[in-house]
Amino acid sequence: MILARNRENLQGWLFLLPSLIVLGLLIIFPVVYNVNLSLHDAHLLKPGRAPFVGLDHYGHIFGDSGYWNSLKVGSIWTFSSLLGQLIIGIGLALLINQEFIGRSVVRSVLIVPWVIPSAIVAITWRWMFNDVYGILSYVLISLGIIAEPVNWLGDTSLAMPSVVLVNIWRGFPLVMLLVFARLQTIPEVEYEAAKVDGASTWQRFIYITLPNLRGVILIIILLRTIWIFNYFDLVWLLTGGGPLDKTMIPPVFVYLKMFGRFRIGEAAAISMTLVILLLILAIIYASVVRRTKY
Amino acid sequence: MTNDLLKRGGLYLLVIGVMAFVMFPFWWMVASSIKPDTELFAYPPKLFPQRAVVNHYEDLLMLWPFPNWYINSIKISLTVSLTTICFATLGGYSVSRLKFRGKEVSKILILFSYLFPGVLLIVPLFIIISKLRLHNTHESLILCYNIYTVPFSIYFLGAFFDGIPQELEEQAMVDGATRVGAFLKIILPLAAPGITACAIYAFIVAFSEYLFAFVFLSTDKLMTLPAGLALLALRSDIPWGQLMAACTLVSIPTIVLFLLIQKYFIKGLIAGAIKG
Repeated sequence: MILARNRENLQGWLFLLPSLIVLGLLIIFPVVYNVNLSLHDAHLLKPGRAPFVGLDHYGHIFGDSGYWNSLKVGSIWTFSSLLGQLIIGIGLALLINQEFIGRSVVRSVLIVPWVIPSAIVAITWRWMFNDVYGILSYVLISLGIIAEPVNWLGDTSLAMPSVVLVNIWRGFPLVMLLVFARLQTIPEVEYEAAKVDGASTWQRFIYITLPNLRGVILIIILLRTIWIFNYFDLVWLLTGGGPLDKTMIPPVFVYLKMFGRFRIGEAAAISMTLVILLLILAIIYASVVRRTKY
Repeated sequence: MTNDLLKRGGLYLLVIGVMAFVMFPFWWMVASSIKPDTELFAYPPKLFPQRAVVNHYEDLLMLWPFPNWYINSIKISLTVSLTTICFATLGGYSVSRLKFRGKEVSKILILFSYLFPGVLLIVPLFIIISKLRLHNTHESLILCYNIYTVPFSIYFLGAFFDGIPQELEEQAMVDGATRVGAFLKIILPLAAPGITACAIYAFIVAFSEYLFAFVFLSTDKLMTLPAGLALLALRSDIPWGQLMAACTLVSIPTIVLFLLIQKYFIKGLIAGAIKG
């Protein structure tokens, strides 16, 4: 019997092996390489000469105001995008959970922003944000909200809200879908019973819906935070990090160090610090979550 | 009664408002693609084109290898979809049936895979790819996109397989089937909704990916849609008409296709949520 179980275990691992090999090759190896790279003064245009510099890059990074700016910008970007996606995603999940005519059509339409390639999303919104020919300014002017066209992506105080708006538009469908899928699994019986006991809509929401959603929302927060923090495409194609580094989120910061300044050693060090930062946050998050579970 | 009616009315109003918010950019995309330059670059911009022209589409197809980009993107995304479900069905099954902390493995797997941003992986990966003489090929992308698609798929399918009782394959094995046989003939068909959802998810992720495509590919004709469109979008004088035409040509079929298959996607997700 013990032998049989061991063989089962072996089979189990064999099934997992292809994925582990591929992911090992494509993730672990590059990460190790990256760590090594961060300890050398490597330059993209000088492939032969990469002298070992130890932790020099790391020391330099912590004194670089550009680095701290990108961390600050990245935090604002991540936090506001996450908040917006959560509020809209959960709200809409509740909405499409209701019965109404055309529900499946609405459901499908609401997923669309996530299905479209991010490059197209960025390009289209950039055109809409255009300071002269953009439709967004015009719509607000017609509604009487503003008086003159606005340079959304070029104005230092408007650029971040603008890219966050696009990120929310792009990202809420996934949150909505995951929450909706979970909502569908809550037995109708619980709501019925509560109604019989005299619970109001609000009470039913607080005491039945929310507790059931707790698990999925907590996971969404963790995964989304990491994912949004590391999200390169959208901001790069919308603003390229500007104006005046106001949208210089960490991925864009690293990208420019690599392909703008060609300093791949330094860029590698920066990305390592980002990984460590996210890892620490994830660990803290996981322990807090575990502690508040009753 | 009127309270109910008001609530209903409010609901529909909200629905319409949200739909408008979601759909408006597409309207603007299409409208811009058929406006002549005189209207495109006019202030104030008009919501509805006064005249409709096709020259942006013509220019796009004449000046850029747009059909190549389209075919490349589809080809790569389909292949990644296939490889993902191959890896993820095997991996998800093992994670589900494994006695030894399989669940934890898959959770950590996803976390670790998404912890490392594309900009971190890109330089080492590019060096590996170049050493394998795979730079400027589609194979390099097909290989690398699995990083993004497989971890989540393993987690998702693992949860899915958890919902399929082990007795089924045990019964089959008692009847003489091998584990692999039981896996293929019994488990997989039962997991079809989840597998479909994964395949669609992988396709969407691969289709949308920009960074690797932009860095790994150097020949215009080989590029994927995101990489190719970036060529237009990163110029100093951006050809907005052509860009909007390109965006329209990609978005409309995508939306139509997705509307047709979304039922399977959502069904798969819900099934996964029930079992997970």
